[in-house]
Amino acid sequence: MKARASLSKHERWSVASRVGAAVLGGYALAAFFASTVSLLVRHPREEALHLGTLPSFLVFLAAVLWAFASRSAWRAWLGILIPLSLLALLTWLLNHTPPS
Amino acid sequence: MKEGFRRSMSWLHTWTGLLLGWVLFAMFLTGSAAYYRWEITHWMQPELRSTSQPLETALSAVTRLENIAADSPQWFIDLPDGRNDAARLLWRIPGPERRFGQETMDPANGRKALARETLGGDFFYRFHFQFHLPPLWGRYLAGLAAMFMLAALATGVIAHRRFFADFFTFRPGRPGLRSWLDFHNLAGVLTLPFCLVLAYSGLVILSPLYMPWGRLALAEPAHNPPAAGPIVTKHSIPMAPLAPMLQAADEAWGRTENGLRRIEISGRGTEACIVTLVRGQGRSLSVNSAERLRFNGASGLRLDAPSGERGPAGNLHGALYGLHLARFAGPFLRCLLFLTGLLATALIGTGLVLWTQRRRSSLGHTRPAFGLVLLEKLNLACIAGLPLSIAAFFWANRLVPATLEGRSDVEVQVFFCVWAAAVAHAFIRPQASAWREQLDSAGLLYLCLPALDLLTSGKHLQAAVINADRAHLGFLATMLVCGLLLLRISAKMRAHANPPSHTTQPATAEESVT
Repeated sequence: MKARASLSKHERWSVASRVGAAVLGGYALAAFFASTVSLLVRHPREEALHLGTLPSFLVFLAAVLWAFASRSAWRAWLGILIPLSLLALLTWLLNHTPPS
Repeated sequence: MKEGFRRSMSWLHTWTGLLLGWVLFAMFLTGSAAYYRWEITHWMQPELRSTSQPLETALSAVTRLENIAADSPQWFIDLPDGRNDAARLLWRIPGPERRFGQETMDPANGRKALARETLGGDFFYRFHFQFHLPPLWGRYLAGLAAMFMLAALATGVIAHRRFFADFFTFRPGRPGLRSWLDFHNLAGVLTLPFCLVLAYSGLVILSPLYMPWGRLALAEPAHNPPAAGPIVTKHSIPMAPLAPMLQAADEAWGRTENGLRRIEISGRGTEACIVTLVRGQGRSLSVNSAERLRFNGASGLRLDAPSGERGPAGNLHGALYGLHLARFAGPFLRCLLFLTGLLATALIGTGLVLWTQRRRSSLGHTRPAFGLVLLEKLNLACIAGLPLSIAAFFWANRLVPATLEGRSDVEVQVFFCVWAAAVAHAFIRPQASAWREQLDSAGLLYLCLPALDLLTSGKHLQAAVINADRAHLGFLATMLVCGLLLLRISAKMRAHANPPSHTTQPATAEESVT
């Protein structure tokens, strides 16, 4: 616990960056996970909704753990941004394909 | 590598636990109390003791609403049951905003209950996820805290090298950090499933607020009758008589413990008026399992029940929702849940205390930073101050005149004033004495509550004893136990602050620094 007092400037930025990745990146990842799964299932509506929403909080949690467990802040961001952009792309595609 | 991982998880555990620790402490304490929401209301309204027939009560509730909320588009009627003495009427106030009026009706005479006005157990229930803040802000804060709780639990398990071995390690006699830490670990292992389920299901319950993205992605189909509706005028369509609908419910469900429990009427005054009769949940786990009968309110014709078919995810959602509310729990399970909730509260409290103690012990004799002192004071004002202000809330219920206008607000004001005083007291007094004084006074307030009950509403207490009123007497017994528990914690703290070898020096190192 003493370590915090002697955190270097670099380490401080690293922590702040990880917090950003965990909170903003993690939430965005969970949000796009929810919308992608809901759009993939689509029917019945309530079921699609729950299938997307229920696990999304665990996705958020996993992202938070990842952000602080990964070796560097860069890896933390990469590990969140890559699946995030994939899911965002999927959401966009599913939104622009009429349901069969 | 593996050690680094564990260390970073441990770091995350301390910070997620600390940052919203006070919020979580308050959530778990008031949430535990909310398991006895109706029993607390029962004690706080001693004037209201009735046994009633649901059907007759339903009819008089409708008559009452015709008198006080005739122009409202939407009514809700909660009928009394084994845990709830009165009918609770709720109606939407006409207008663009979503505002509701409410009244407690005495089933015995169909009029406004003459019981003292109080929020009762609802205060704890609401505080548990809204903290008396504007509803949206409170709920966002609660969601954030639940997410922090999940993170703290996950990292706590990972960081804890000997998770199960430590379960069998409790060194209560050891001074200082060790026994706090042992208790924290023990409570953590015992309550882990409880905390996980409660934090997760809490998020799930309010997920339309926290995770609306699935719903937004699936374009909303047009639905819902005009619930807000226009203001009901004299020319609007009258309602069909309710008695035949109630009769149908009576035939379908009988008058058992889980017969008719709630009536919802929406779209009043229009042709699309819908009357929904909801059956009591009984001992069923899921909230989705509540059976309903629906009628067109204008014609009185029975409508098809909405398809009750749900997929596995829908069922899981209903079960998680039901688990959190614990309406299914009978007396024994309810008590167990309450005790687990208190243990989880203690888990959070010890975690908070450990954080500051560790910081301080790593400092040696150097002067602590202002931030650390501030944390210590606020820890104290939260952990000891909140039980104290809850006790004051109960005292206010008996001391504020029963007929005073707006007395339920006064009770709430007493709660917050005492809490503010606890904060001030924490800053004025030396640390160790402030802990003891707040815990002692909270303990005494709880212990004397039965005496206060006897002095201020003796005839109600007498009636409770004669009728073997389990809710009333159980409440008082719980208060006695809480009082003893708080005094015991205080005595423990005294023993810690004054180890036997230095009994002559009350000013411990801890005090001299602050």
